[in-house]
Amino acid sequence: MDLSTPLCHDRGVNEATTPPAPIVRISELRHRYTSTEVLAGIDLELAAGVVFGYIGPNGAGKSTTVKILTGLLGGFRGQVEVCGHDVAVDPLAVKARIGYVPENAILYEQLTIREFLELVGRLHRLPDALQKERAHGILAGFELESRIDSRIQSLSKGMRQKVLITAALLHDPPLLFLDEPLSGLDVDAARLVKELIRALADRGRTIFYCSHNMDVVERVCDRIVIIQNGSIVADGTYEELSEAGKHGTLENVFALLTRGEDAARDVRVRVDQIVGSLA
Amino acid sequence: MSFEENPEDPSPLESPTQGEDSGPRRGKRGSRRSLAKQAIRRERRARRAELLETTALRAASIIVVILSPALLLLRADPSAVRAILGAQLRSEFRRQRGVTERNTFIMKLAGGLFLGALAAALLFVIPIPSVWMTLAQGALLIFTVFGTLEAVPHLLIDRRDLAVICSAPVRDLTFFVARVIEIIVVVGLVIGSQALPMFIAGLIKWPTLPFALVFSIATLLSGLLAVFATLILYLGVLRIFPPQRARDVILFAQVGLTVLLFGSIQLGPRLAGKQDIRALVESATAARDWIPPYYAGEWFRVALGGEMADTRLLALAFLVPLLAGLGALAIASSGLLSRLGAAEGGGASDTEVAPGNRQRRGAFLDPLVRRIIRDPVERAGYDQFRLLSRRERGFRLRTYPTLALSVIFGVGYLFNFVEDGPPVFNGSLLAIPVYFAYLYAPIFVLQARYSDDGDARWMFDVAPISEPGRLVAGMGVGLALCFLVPVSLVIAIGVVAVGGVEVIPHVLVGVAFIAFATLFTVEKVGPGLPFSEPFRPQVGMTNFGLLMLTGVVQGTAIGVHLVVAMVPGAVWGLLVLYGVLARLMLFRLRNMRPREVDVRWFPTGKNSAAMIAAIATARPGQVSSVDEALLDDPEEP
Repeated sequence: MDLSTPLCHDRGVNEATTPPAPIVRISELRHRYTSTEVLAGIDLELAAGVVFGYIGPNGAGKSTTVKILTGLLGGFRGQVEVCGHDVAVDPLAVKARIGYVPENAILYEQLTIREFLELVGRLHRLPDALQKERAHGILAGFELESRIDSRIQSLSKGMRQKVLITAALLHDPPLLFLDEPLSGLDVDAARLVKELIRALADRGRTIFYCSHNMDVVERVCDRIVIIQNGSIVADGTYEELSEAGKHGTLENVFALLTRGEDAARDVRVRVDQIVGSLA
Repeated sequence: MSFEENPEDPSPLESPTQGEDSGPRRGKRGSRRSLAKQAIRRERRARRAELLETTALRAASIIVVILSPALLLLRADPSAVRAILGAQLRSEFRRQRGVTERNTFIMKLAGGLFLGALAAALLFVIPIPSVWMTLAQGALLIFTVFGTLEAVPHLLIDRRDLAVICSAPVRDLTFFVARVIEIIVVVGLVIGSQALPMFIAGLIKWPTLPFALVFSIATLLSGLLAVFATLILYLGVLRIFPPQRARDVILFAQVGLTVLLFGSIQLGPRLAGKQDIRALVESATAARDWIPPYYAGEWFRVALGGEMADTRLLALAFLVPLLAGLGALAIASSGLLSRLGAAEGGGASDTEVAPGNRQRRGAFLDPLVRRIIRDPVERAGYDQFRLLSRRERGFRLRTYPTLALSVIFGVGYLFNFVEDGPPVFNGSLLAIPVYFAYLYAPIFVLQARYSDDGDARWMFDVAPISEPGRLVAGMGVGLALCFLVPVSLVIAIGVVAVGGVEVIPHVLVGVAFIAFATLFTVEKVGPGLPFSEPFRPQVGMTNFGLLMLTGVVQGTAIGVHLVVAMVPGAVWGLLVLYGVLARLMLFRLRNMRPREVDVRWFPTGKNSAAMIAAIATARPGQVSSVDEALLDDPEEP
């Protein structure tokens, strides 16, 4: 896989002379499920070549945002452009330019890794030879090449995660959506993926990284957005956020922003409640 | 303690929005009344389902109470049995309601009533009580064995509670007894529905207490025997084979039994020299000890005042189910949970494919496939179907027997010519069985939508596919090339063997028809992406209406063939015609619009309007998909 090629097959991205157009542009994004407003007006612009951390408590609207950006969910209000294409108007153009690693993805257990990657490659209309070359290269990096003819049902959670990441990288997309990509990975593999994310960003790819793992977000992401109840409550680099919160770690900043000043005391109360119920 | 402590508990598997999806379908103002009617219907359905659930829970509760002393004797824990059973039965019955709230368990019961009524009608002409009872119990035993074979694997190895139970201090026998009672309750309700019409028919013929008693007890014993025998088979296989292999062995046993049953019905009388069934039943004296339905027949004969000639048979009626039960308990008493846990967990080594071997199966088709399919997306659809149709257990179980049945019917047809000499008409009459390969095509198309991993369809959703029809076309080619055309060719070989080389043109016409008709069926039955819907056990094999329609298409094609064959040489024209039609149909599939394939392919910004439009034009096969799409995207007003 050639990561040194110019980034985008898309207009306006990563041009040297003028400031690059944002690879993701979200304006007044709103979405509701029946009576619940999940996204309450998100505004966001994302430059190419950054690792972008998108974090928030459960139910904050992270997955909904990702589903909208990847063209999986419609019926939203507002303007959403990905790689220069309006998601509502031309979702296929968007899908051609993104890679997606969902959290807890279901895979066709009866296919082998090779068959699964062939399927993904063909759905993206990659020439067979290129698909094979890339698949072998990426799998070799993940030390999975020897398992290429194993059925997915025989793989561990970490191996599946590597297969998913391989599938997302196969067509060399300029924008990658990673939802808890380190889930199930052992220490070595997690380190590899973190380095890979950095390397991809250095080569101009943009990473949209959703996670609950604050340590990783803190170390990997160039820019972090925290959302709660469908609204952005913080946006900046880790240094900016920790400075603003004056609480050191991102976990503390997150707790402060999502649970308020009494977060630590609140946790203690709840722990006491649980332990007390065991007595 | 009873199970129905909190019948109002909503199942975690049910969506709070379920059933509220029909608003947009109705559209305009006049729909209020129909919405109200729908609400009433939904409420009735829910009440029926609740009643069924409560009945099952009560029945299970009574069984546990009755069996408590025996359970304690076996060192099984009755309260744990009750807890496992309560959770399982609630979950099972609520799952049966499904996402669309159509309680398919009630439909299963209705199907059982129909099947029982059919058997009762067929048996009504049999005047001899013992023969009637033997055949009735035989039919019930077969129904039960098939029902149990289908129910046991998913009830015994149930992911929902297996992990919890395996990690809790639960003895093997406690778990086993809970599962057996669950199976008996679930299967018992279906057997009851099948037995009821036969019971009524028998009561009309012999309105006596002995009949009622013998039939009821014999039905109970038949049911227990079927359940225990199936459990012995399953547990035995689990002991002998590694977990992953065990699933395959069970699958082949299920397929084999289906083929054996229908094959013996179709070919048995021919092979036995066309004796009638009654004579066969009466003459099989030597084998009686080994055929349980005879026990019931003997009991009925004695109950009606006949001489007690064979006490061994009478004793066997009780002994055999008892021994089967003890046998199942003995096999299950040690290591059951660990084996089931392993079967659930899977094993890596058994599922690996040796590098270099993967192309072996079906590789000879590749040059042909490359000629037909050039587009990568279409090839993806073909490969997806080809690979998963060989590996998906549910698909294989539901479709493979039909292939064997087509061949059996074909062979049965050819017997006429073997026995009665060469055809008097012409070769076209002999080529008719080639068309039999098409009979079950809709089953393949319907089942090809479902997969145990149907939720993996997200990978299609996230891919930039502008022509989803290509995927459907690939599936159609796969279905034709991997299944139906080969089966028609197998039958064709038999036809040529009987009729000689002069029937070859007729045979070719039949094969060409199969190719065209397969693609036609894919288009008409309601195309969808291959293996892209989560498999639900309650999805029926097919619907009878569709099979009837297929029969009409098949019959028409045969009629056309016979007429055309009267004109010398015209059969070649028919061959070309079917070839052209197959080509056109493939073109049609490739160019299907997204909404004809699957509503979720719409550009997302237009979802609302597009879905409503899709609902308006949806075909019967697509409706559930539309419902689910709406549920998936519940922002609809």
